[in-house]
Amino acid sequence: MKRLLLQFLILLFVPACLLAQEDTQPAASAEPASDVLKPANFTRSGTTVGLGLVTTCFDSYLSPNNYMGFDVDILGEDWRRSAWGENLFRQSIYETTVGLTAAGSTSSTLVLGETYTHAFAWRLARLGPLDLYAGPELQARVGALYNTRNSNNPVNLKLGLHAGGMAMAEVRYDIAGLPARTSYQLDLPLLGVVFSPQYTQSYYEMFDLRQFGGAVHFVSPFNGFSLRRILTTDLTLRHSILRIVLENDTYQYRTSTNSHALRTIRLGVGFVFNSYAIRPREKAYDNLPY
Amino acid sequence: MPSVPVKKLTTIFLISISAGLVCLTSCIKGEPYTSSPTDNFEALWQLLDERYCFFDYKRDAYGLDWDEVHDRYARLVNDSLTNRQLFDVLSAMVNELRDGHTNLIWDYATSRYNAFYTDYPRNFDSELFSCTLGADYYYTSGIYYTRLPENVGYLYIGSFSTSFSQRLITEIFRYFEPCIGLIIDVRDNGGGDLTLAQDLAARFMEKKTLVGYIAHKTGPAHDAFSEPKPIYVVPDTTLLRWDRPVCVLCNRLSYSATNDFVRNMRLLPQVTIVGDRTGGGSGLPMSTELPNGWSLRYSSSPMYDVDMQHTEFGIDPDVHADILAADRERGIDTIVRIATLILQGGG
Repeated sequence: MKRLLLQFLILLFVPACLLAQEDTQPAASAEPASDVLKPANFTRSGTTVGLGLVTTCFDSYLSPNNYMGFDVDILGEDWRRSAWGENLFRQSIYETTVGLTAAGSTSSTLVLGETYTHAFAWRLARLGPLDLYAGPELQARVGALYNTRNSNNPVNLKLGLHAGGMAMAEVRYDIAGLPARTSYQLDLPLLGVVFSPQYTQSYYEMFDLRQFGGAVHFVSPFNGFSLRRILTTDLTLRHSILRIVLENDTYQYRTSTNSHALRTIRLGVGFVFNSYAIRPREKAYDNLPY
Repeated sequence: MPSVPVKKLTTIFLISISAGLVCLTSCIKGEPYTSSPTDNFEALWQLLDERYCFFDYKRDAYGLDWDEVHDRYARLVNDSLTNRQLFDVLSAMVNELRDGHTNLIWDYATSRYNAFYTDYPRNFDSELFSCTLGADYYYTSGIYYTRLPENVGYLYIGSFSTSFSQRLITEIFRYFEPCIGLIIDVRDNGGGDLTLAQDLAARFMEKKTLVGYIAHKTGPAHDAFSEPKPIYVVPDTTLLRWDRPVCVLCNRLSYSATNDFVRNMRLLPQVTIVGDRTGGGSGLPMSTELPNGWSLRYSSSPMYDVDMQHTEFGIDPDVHADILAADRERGIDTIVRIATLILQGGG
């Protein structure tokens, strides 16, 4: 909830913050414009609010049926240059979603999810305005599916921790003399562990009797496939940077007895805030030449 | 920039993107919506075939042959059936399982198997219940309680679906302090919250007690079960415990969580079970759905007693008693009367 509130607050205050830094704003460029500012201190933060179409919501523990519906999400990204190298960047993506899906006209499933991804992106190549990045990432997913009609098994918690890789192509260009950038990113978790009850294992057995045996499963490309594709465009609009995001998220796996799949397509709009960390005063003084 | 071949890296990058897109083709998906009666009949039969937990037990108990059930009912289903006709046929098939925990739920009706109590004497009467309570009784949270003239506490719990607090039980025990014994009447209690029933049983236990086992299905085969795990009831030793004699009254409608309560209470030396056999219902139910959106509740996890025996078809009382017609005419509940005698030491 705190994160949700924080994201809302960021979204509300981003335009004001951008107006306040008019003179040094590097606009849509990933690179700081001023030589005074050290590149290592640069951070690009973007937050968007999106509306999505849930094309598949399926969890065999709850129902054999395919559910479809809508969701809303808040997607935030922090992109900063790592202190460990000129071409090494760190990326954090946090995403909160709330959705409602239905099957037929009689039952519905509420989808709640929080995904946090942390990646190290290495700039592989710089081909004119095009930059190519790739690197390892760690993804954590916390969420729940709530079937409004089921009795003793209305909820299936979705907990997962995955390791994989990311790849991103970024192009920088101008529109009417104003800088813009577009990136296409793939998040591909490959290995991980997920919480999933066995075939008919009850929550009474797991949480009242504390018998979790068989509820944690290993996920690999042999039994699961997850892919998040994010097409992001940042456009400079006078003093602010508008972000438009098109996202396609697929998350699915099979355990020995149950299957889960969640697929969404979302369109989000928000703002980007570029900032520079300021060193602590004593350290700054240490660097003075006199 | 790092000193690596740019062309090679770009190729690797593009291949990795393409590979990711190709993988999308092998997607996991649920069943699509269909209202076809034959499709829904087959889906219902298969869902139960793969998930219901008492096939082997009921084959031995009364000769249930699920394949034969399929063939018999398949002849009754065709795509011209109306929803109501389909519901009637599917409900009849579900009731072949003789399980009160297995229900088909349509928006306009819910199937119920109730022969486990309608085929037997009811052994509970609301008028006699009023006579037992008399004019001075207390009621709260679905619980009625009073002190009977024989100096016996009488506690009626009509459901474990309505939550009550442990503080309430403590207060009731204090109220019953002068009593020589306690009657807990769970007749017509169709169950509810299993944990609530176990917490109540814990108030009569001195120490952590093994009360049974639970397993769950691990796959579609009829005999695919997990290793049974023990169920312990752990009393909170800081709470007031009732250690005087207790009679638990039950009938055929003492079902599900109430069946579980009786199973736990009969393990205690100071407890006597009086009345009729319980209704059973020892399978923990779960829910799923048919392709047309109808909901299906079914027994998914068998719960056993301490001897690893099923209690799906009920638990026999220590003292069998039916309400006698002669007592009924005099406004006397025979089962309460017998329990009172037992507590007075004259049973």
